[in-house]
Amino acid sequence: MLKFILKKLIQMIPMLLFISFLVFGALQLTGIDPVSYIATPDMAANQENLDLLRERLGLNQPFLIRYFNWVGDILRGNFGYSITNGTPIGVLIAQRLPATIELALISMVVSAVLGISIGIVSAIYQNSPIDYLGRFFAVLGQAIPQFFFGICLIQIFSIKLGWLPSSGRYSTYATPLRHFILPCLTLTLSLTSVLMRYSRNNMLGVLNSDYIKTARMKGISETKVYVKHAFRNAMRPVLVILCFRLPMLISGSVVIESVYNWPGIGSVITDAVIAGDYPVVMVTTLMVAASILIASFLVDVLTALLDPRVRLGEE
Amino acid sequence: MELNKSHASNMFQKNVRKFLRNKLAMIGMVVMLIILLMCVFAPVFTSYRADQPDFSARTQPPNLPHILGTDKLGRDVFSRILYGGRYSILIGVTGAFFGSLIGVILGAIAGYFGKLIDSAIVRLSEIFQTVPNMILILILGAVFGRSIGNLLFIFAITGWMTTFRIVRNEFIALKGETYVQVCEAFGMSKIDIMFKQILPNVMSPVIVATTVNVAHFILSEAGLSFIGVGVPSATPTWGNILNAAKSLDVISNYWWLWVVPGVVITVFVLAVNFFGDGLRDVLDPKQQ
Amino acid sequence: MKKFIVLFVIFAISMASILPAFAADNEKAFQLISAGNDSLGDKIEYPWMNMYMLGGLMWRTLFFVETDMVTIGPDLASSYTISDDGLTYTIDFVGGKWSDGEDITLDDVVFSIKANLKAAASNSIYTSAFTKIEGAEAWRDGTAEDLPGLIVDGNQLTIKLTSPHNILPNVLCQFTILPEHILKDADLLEIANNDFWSRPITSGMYKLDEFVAGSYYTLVPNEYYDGPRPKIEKVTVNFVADVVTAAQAGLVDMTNTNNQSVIAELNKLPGMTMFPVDILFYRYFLANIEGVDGNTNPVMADIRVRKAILHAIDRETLAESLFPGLAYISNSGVAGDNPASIGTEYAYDPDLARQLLVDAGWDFDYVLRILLYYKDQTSLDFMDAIVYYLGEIGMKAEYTVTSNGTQDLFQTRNHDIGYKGLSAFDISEWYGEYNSANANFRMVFGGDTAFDEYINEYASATNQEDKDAALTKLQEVEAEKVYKLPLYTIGNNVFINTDRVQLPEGITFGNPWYKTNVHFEDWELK
Repeated sequence: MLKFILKKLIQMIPMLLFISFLVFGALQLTGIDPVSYIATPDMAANQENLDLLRERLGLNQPFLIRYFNWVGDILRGNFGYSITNGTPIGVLIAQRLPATIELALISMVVSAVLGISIGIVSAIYQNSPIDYLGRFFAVLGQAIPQFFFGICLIQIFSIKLGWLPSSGRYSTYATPLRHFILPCLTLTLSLTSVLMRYSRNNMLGVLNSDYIKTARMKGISETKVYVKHAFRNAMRPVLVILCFRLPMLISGSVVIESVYNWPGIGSVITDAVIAGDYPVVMVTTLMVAASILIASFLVDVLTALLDPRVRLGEE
Repeated sequence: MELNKSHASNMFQKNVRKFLRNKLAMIGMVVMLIILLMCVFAPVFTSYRADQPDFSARTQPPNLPHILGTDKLGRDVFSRILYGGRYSILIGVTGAFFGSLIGVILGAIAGYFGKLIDSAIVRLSEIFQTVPNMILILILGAVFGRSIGNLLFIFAITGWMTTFRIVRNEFIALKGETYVQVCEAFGMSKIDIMFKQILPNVMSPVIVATTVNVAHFILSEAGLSFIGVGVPSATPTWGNILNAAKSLDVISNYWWLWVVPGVVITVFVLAVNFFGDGLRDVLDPKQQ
Repeated sequence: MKKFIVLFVIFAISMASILPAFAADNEKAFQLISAGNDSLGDKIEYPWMNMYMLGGLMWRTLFFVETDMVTIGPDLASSYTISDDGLTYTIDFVGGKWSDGEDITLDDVVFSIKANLKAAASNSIYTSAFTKIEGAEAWRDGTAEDLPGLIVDGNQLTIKLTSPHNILPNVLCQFTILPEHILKDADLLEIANNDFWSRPITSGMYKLDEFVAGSYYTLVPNEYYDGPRPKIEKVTVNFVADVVTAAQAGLVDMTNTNNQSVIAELNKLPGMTMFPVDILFYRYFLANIEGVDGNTNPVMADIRVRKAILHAIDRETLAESLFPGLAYISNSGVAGDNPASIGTEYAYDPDLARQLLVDAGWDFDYVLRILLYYKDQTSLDFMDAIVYYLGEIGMKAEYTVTSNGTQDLFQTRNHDIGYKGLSAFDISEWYGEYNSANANFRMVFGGDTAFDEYINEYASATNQEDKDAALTKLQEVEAEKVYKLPLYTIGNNVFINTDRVQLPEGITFGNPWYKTNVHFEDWELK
């Protein structure tokens, strides 16, 4: 088992290196110059000094040298500075990541509870009106563009009713909880519908399986069948999906952060790519990539623990 | 051979009947076709040009000549939705098609040859899954610039992994089948075996996955246009029409400018999803 | 099953603990917003790039200008004299105190000017003025240890210029003096990114109180400020995405905008009072003709093509529809109602435009590439309309939005015309763009020297007559060259929530992009 875990961990390193090289190379191809991004054309700045700055940042050096400098810095634990803002990237992440994680985690819990319970109820009462309603909601949740749903919520709750603020995280005029509700609802919708579909289908599969049929034949009460046997077996794949979804949520909240001006990491990434602020793009990309790798690693370990066949097959 | 054909046509008829009985799938297909045809034959349904401003008729609510109102430059919203649908649907369909094409080719190669080639391609697909999609699209958008062609290219190279997985797994399973071995024994070329013999057997799940991707890419286009990195804003795609209406002044005063494109996208994607689900029930029951 | 429940509970509790729950702060404060989308909200505005009307809340300058942007009064300095040749300025310094109690001295002034010359991010009005100080070039590139053109003698500062720059006193009304004792070891090149801006020591009537990164910061009166103490006890600046929502939430006591949809929404709010101001803000097309590097763009070389574009666009209708009451057609750098105007005009005439294209041998299959760096919806709508108008004369066109305006307009140059804005301090800035030495514009106008003589004439003019004479010459050359295709100038509106704020009698407002004397110390909250 230890060997299996070690092997998986070591596999991650070349992967991360390769991804970082890929992203670095692609960013070079964009040809965006972060230094000239600082100076807006409306108020042209000090050209000679901008050239000096470009030189200082090593932007004139050849691509490979800059890449290795960058890797060296990262290995020494130096994440570098944002070119356009000057904030150390460590600070930047510390400022912005909690907002995204808060949004992603809470939305995930809410949608896990909602999605799984609706899914199970739908499966138990298959082809009943409840099932149709649940399924329709699930399909709708996947068909409606997230930002459109967000705009609808803003129109209803912020503009028409004036109950909830339409942007930001903290402010002097509304509690953090009220700021949180709309972005959370928006992110919850799509995830809930995914989870609902999954848990309904899994539950149906389990309910039709032989051993549940046997359990029923043995005269075990329906509730007990659902709770004890079916639920547990149906949940395993759903948990795996959840594990996979968290890192995706981090990069996927880009759109939602833009609708609600939520000060998270997604908007930092968007702005940094647009501005060619490569130290920021590199670190954030690697961070998200690493979290995806770790999540899939955890899933692998979990499955291996639960099912010895996988482990044997790998070795 | 005769027998085989009639069997196949029987299967086909059975499948069509099964599909026709699936009400949701039928509704989905009909709605999808109506929207599609209206977009393709847009000049029949509207006399307005999508790009023609009329400064004397700005931001009119839905009325008789302009059944869905006009926008801030006095352009007819209905005609913009129809002409915009051409681009949005085209992007969804072609993006999904090319994504599947790459997926099928790589999946076939990986599954059929196995060993080193297989693990190399699998690694590649893992890398594409690990780099956050949004970041990849943002960077590629910055590298190649904003245009419909580039967006299609980006969708194709970021959207092939699902089909790839399906095709590869099926190929691995089918590779050991007797008929494949027989073909190999007859000295048939590898390409023929891969694409003429094995591939037809895996087309059903691929078609289903492609349909789902069409909906997915239409949503992606809208999302990307919304954060300003999608199709150039001069092109009236559904995403761009909606994006042009995101200011609060529009949201609170001119509902028809944002509700209409939003609802159209939702309805079309919903229809494609229903249609795809129906197709899956028929073609690929075990994937449910 | 139990395990799952326990896990879920633990999960839920840890989630709930992430939600910090501090209550809303309802203390009475003057509310401002910062709507910069690309900032992280962990720094205050960097005053050497953009100064604002209320810049005086935190920063002092050597002089203070009234809202007419002409009448100069004392601030850190009491008065100045100019030598007859316009090259030597003598300034009488008074001084004050920083918010940490230290004295503001002439050393701070000298430090600030020297630092500005070395800073990468600086508004061009400072750069173009200070590079004319004797020895500025050598100081900037590090070959000299000092700046000999600045001489301190007791409470007098003497500034020696190499060529006349008659707007220097106005520039000094905007130039923020920074504390040397805090910033002496700062990296001057990247001073805009210094973390000083997260916890600034200020010189104005307020000082920083609390800073919640990404959300807001608050200001309280600076007890070391020697002017009259402001009546408003607290100022809150919120970082918001959208002005209108913030205003609807009651967060905006003062803002300014030229965006028509924002104006319409703000006017609907009870208490919001609009104060229109006339400012020099140009919007125009910039032809990409040729660079001094030899990279030429033959498409735009023919002046008839450039004139055809101007004649093809119905600017009047566009201005009325998209910027009602705000935009005025401009045909040169000098407004039509300015006595110095020579009355250049490019009327809407599609037939003439088409004829000009035919005469120029225009390839009607060619797609004209328009570049812009404005992302607001009105600008995009405007571009849609431009493409339509050009289409009407048979000219195909498409536009691209860039995030990298300066680089794409002047270096990459994959475009034919660029849509640009210029927030000008003085007409000389508009014509300064034609200067053959202008590092950016010589990349598109080929370093043409035709304007240089008159630009210098204008800069050294000491009376209105000489200025007007130079302007006449400049307009003539401009109409002859048509490098820039002027579209319109756009005014601005200041909004103040007069339900909450009591303004002093007879208040006027100046250009909101510059610090002007609006007597903030007399403003009151109701």
